[in-house]
Amino acid sequence: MVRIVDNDSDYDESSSLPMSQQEEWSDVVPIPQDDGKNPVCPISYTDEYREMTDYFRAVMAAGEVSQRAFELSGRVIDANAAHYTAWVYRKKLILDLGLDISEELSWVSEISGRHIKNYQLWHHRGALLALLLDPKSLEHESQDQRVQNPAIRNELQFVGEVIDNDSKNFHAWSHRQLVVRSYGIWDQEMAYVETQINQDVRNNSAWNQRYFVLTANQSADEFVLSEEVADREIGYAVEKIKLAPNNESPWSYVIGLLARHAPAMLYERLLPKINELAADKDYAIAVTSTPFYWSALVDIYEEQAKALSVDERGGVEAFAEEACDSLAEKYDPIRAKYWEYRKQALRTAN
Amino acid sequence: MATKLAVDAHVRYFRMCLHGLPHQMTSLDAARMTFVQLCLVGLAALGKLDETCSAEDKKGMIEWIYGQQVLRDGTELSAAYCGFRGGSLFGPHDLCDYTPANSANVAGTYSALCALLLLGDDLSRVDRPAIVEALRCLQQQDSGCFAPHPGTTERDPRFIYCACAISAILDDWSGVDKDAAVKYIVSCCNPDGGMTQAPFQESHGGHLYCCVASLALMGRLDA
Repeated sequence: MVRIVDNDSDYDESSSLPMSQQEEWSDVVPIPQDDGKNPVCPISYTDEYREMTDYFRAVMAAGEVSQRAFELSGRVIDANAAHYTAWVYRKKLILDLGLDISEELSWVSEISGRHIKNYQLWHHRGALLALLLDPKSLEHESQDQRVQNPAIRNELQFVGEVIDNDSKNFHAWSHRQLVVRSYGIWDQEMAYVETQINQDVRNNSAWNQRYFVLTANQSADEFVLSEEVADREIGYAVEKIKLAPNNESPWSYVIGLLARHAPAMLYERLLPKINELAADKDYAIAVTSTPFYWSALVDIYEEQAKALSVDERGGVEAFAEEACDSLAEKYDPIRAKYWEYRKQALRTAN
Repeated sequence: MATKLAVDAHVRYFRMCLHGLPHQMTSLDAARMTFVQLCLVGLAALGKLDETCSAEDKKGMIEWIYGQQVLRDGTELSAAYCGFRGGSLFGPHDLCDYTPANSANVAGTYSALCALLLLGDDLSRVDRPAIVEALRCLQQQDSGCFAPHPGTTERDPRFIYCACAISAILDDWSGVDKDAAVKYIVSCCNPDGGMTQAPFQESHGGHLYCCVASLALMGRLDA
């Protein structure tokens, strides 16, 4: 169970004997920090941290391989999770001592509440997973079977808890991509994405994950957006736009998807649906008062104009320019200069 | 409501930070170099650096920064660890048998070079070939991206940006395969127009800056 704590709370050093009085450490000469004569931005360490790092400097400098060095590395990391060489040393100790990877994953879970946005922690977790479970060992299993693998289940549970606490934790979503991609568990991820979007239609991280699930399972050259899938995604996006028209995510999702993979579908398939929405008395006002509706029109008409001959494209370009004007003047005035730039770009594309 | 920037308050803040930070900021211990850079940049941007830091102050700071430089030790192994450390947390250089313990990282190197320049140093004590070689070691063969230091799976546009800024400052790009870096950056363009740390991840303003700035420094904004 991941318990997130306020990042500002002091690291809780349990009260115990100073290391200098511990028998276990009596053979080690601690190395004090050498901050030179004129330290800049020196930190007023707690006595515990100072002593801990004095001993840690000593064992790390000697490249000591031992259980006590390993445990000390954990205390140092928990006190300062951005200590980049401590993580490298800890990983080496795990391998040299042949320590249990699952236990290490549990330790990472335990301290993660205090360091939930720390890059090194998440990368350490990813490296541990690769050591624990070789993707090749699951080659012959179905996706349903793979999802039942204890290590995979554990990862999904951990990262799911983190996202439950903070639905936009960048590292957590990134870790999900690592797990999905490494072990080929794409189907459950689409279901997960839909649950997240149902919980919060404004969660852009979930929308981004939808694009990932849809397209990342093959190389960039291989992915082809079929008409069937395009219609499904357009329908899905429109349904979510109806829930909250002034929410950028479904708009940028569907336009991005089509613009990148099947630009003609922007005007052939998406535009009719947007026009329907704008004509629907239940949604017309809410939808057409958002900047996203007008921005969508600029993107769509711009693309449509490209496909027309010079003679034919005038009308469509005019629509796009009018949309730019509406945005600059009324719906998105803070970006007036950007919309002016888009208008100029339309003209010079002639 | 205030309508003017409270310059004096900001100057006091930066000066205070340069003098010392409370223990609650222990998590910055491995990134003190970047904090130093930011304080100096802040003062310089306000036009108050010379007023706040005397020549003697600057000299002292320059010495501390050079104290974090990791130099070559003659072995091939050490090349990737060279540059500037993020702070003195890691231990004296001459007492270290385990090279990774005293590793520099690209963010430390980038911040150190910026800070030295702001303090008026001529970089004559910087081991340029060592830094360039470290960059070469840290650029990933498979992707073109950069790791911050050896031994980690971290790699993302922050470190490409550091590598590019370092190369621009040293006016030596031989440590950076620009084509490979550009290819990686382009793969970080998202359908929503944003950029991110690795293909398919969510668009992120910080990584967008690092990607665009790297392209600008490499002279490849047309990519």
